[in-house]
Amino acid sequence: MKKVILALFAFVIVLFLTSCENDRKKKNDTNSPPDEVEITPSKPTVNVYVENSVSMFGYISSGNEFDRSISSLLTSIKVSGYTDSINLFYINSRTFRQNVDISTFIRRTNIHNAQTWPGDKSKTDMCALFDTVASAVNDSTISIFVSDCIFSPGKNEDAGNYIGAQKDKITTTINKKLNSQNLAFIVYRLKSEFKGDYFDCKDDPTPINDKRPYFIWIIGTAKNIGTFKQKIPTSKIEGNLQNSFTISKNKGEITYAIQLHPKIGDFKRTDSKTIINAKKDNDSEKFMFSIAVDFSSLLVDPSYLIDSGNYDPGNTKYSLEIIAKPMEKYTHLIKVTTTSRIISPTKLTIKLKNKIPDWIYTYSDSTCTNIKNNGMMERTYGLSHIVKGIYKAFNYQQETLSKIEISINQ
Amino acid sequence: MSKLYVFGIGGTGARVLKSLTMLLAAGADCGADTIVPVIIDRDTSNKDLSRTELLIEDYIIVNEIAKTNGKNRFFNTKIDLLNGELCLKLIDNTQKFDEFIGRNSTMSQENQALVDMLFSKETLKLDMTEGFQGNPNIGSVVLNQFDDNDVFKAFGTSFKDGDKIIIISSIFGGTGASGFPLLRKILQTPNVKGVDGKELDNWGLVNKAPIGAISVLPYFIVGSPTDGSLVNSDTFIDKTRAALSYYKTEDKKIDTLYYIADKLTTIYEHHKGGDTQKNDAHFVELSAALAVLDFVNPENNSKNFHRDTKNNIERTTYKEFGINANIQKLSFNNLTDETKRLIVNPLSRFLLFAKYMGYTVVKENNNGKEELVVRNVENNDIFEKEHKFQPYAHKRFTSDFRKNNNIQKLESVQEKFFEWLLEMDKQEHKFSPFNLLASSATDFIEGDLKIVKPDNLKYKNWAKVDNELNRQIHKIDKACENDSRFIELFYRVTEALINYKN
Amino acid sequence: MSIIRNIYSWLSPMYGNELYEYLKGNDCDGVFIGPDHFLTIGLIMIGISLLVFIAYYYLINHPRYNRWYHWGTFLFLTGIFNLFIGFGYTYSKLNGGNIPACFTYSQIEATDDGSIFGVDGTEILFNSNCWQFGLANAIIAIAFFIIFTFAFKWWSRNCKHSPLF
Repeated sequence: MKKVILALFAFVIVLFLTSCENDRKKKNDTNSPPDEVEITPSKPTVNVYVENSVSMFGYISSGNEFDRSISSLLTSIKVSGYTDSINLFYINSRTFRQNVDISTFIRRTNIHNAQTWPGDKSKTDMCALFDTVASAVNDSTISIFVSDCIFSPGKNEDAGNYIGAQKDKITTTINKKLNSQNLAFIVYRLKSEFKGDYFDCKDDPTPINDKRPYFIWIIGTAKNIGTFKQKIPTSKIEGNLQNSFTISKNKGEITYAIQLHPKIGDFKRTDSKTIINAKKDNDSEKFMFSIAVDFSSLLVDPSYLIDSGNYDPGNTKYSLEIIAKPMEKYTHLIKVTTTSRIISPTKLTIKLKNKIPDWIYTYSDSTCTNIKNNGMMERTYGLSHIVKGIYKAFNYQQETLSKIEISINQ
Repeated sequence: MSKLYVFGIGGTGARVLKSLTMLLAAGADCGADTIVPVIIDRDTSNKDLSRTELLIEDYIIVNEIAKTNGKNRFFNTKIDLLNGELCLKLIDNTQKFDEFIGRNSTMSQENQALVDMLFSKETLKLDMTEGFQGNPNIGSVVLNQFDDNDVFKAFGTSFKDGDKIIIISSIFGGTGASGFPLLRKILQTPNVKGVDGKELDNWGLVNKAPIGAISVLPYFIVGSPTDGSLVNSDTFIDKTRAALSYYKTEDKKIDTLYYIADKLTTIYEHHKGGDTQKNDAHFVELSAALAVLDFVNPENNSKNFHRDTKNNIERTTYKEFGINANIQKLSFNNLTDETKRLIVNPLSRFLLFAKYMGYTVVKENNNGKEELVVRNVENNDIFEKEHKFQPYAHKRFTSDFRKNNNIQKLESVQEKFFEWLLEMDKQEHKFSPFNLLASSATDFIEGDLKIVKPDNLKYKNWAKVDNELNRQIHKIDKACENDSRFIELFYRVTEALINYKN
Repeated sequence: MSIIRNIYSWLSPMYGNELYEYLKGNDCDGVFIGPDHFLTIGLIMIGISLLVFIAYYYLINHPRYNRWYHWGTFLFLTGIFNLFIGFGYTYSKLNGGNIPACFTYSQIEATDDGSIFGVDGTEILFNSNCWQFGLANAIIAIAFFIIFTFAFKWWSRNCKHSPLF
């Protein structure tokens, strides 16, 4: 009897082991999405607005980097096939369309021509400017706005109060537009030689001959801006690009998976998001694993993504290092490291914070400090207020752009 | 439950009984359920007798475990002893013949003179403790005291209707020649009384019982006497003739009379009796044993018994034993189909069994002379080598199993069986159906009879036997005791491997 | 099938986690995309163990081959066959370029079109891993042989008490 039971038991084992589990594979097959019908999207029109108020004259008098960057940007846009139609404008108190080609436009953007341009070149109402360029945006049109982004409240205004009020106005203006359109803003900070008068918040000129920052804003629907970022990466923008920041309502889902390498120590995966049997490396006493992430659906600047300060590891025992690593279906690699004595089971939630990058504050001046003061040449009066104004318009509910959840089990 | 009472008289009777026991041990078909052997001999120190006695003792023990309720035929026929004794001893205190007959003590002068005329001086001075040394005349006198013996009385008590009697004796020589007619006479004398004056039990049944006799004619001569013996084989033929003429008077007094003889004679060492009278087994004795089986075979009843309505013997059937060829070395080929049917399978199967247990014949150097002897050879002992590994023996036939008394007796019989075959093989007129030196499981039968199942590609030689043992063990009743199971198993296996049919 | 995979996973420290993940049918991200190589190898392994078992106990089934060392020989044979099968299978995959670079290199880069390749000098899967897998396969096969032995040997005429009981 005992032998019969043993025999049956072994038979059952063998039967069980040999029963094929094809379901999973079948499931995979049935889960494949239906063929998508490809619709060739229509190309957006690009309206380029170059601010030609007096504060901009210093860039165009020397005419090197400033021209080159605009020229290279516009050429890249055309060459990339992003658009078939580029409209060129100068903008101060109102817009002035230039029915010329890009090279002619660039040639014309010089000090001699600028002085003869119409409109009120003496003052810059940033809010009005943003209102104008943002209003031109629709599903088939993007705006490119080139400006020094310096507020000019004038002699009679309190500088601090002014930019505070301007900020709120920008917020209201943009927020209204956001109710009907899913807008996104890119701001590039570039530098160029500046030879001319720098006008401070009181409109007092100071002659300078140095490098000064200026800004190129790309404004459009989130979809058009996403395509813009893909087709015209920052590497295509010549002329001393320093920083960038993208503001949008990020609805993109990121995909991620634990990778086998690089690593320090050892572990096993049970699936793409779960680690088991984590072991530290004996020599370095560290344990590190990598997560490949696809951030392409997020309209976030590359520099933002690789700054570990913009992440919350979710567990103080772990630190992060992010590198840009384009790889098949991923864009970045996050290296998660711990030196704690015991690697306890945990659920790690890594958050990509939603915040204004530090450089905005670093290169901003809110107190109208003398341009000749140390470090002020880098700064732009009221920059952070513009950016905060736009940022606030988006009324973010969460402070997280995206999160990555990894289980570390026994 | 019919019995056959086998009276073996003298040395020949003992040796024939030995052959019969061997045949029964090997499982030869026997028409009787029980054999009751009685050896009648005055020479109780006769080695032949003691050998037969020991063999029968062993057989009886093994027979107890042979009742398996299965297929087993080894030791199948029961052997019973009357009063637990094999030998009907002729007891008296006298040593010499003249003392026995009381020539000097009780006889008158006239009777003394008569005695002197009838018997020679040497005969009168004969020391009878060692038999009658070829003198049937004195044997006939001395043996006339059966009726006074306890064994004889027990015979009467146990006798039942349907039982048969057969008397085996030699027609030459001393004890046998004289004993047969005397015994027959007593058995058929009505109302025989014991010394207490009471009639022996069931004597009426005994009187009318089917009765046969086997008379073994000379088949050996003895060499020159070495010990003052009076035995002279030159006189064997004369004495045979004399006895035969007397046996004419036995006609219609016995149902069947078998004459067993051989033309080619063997020379035995001359020993008048005692424990040196040990003659090697001979094919003639085997033939005589076959005659016993012929007598009890119910299929032969119509041939063997011719009785009238009053159960009196109408006529005696006379039978002889024949073989197919008159050659010096006999194998199974030279036997008739009928004989082959009787002995080929039993002897071959039992021999295979004995060989598996390690028994074989080897050459040994004894005092400078090379002899063939039977030994249990370790290298040939397949059971010893294999029982630890084979499923048939697992947890059943372990190392201690062989120490079991029943098994030791079984092996004792196997060893004696081998010796018996060797002895017949050594004779002038050899019975050599087997190559006793062969260590093979299949190649040990002489001649070209297809007896043993041939080797196949997979299982050869002893592996074939082990394979069959492992196959058969499961077919045996689990309720069987271990030693019975052992015998049953080996019977089944040897039957599967050896199954001669003609 | 997860049981067979689990059994191979217990021995994955022998032949490497990377090879384990590949054989499991995972892609570089640890997601199952198939085929499940353990199914193939596992069935072959079980099949061979069973065949060798049947050969010893029921085909050969010989009263002179029922010692423990005869059984040991067949146990060894089961191991050897499966050693070479395990080695051969993984060797052919490794040297046939079937195993994605993420399993065979510790450092991978992408070409312009986004496809990945391993950086020379950072190889982590070698022929020795294939031998180690072969050994693991042999060990598992031996375990199955032992299971089959003690479950199914009881009907063997001549070998049912080999090697024990």
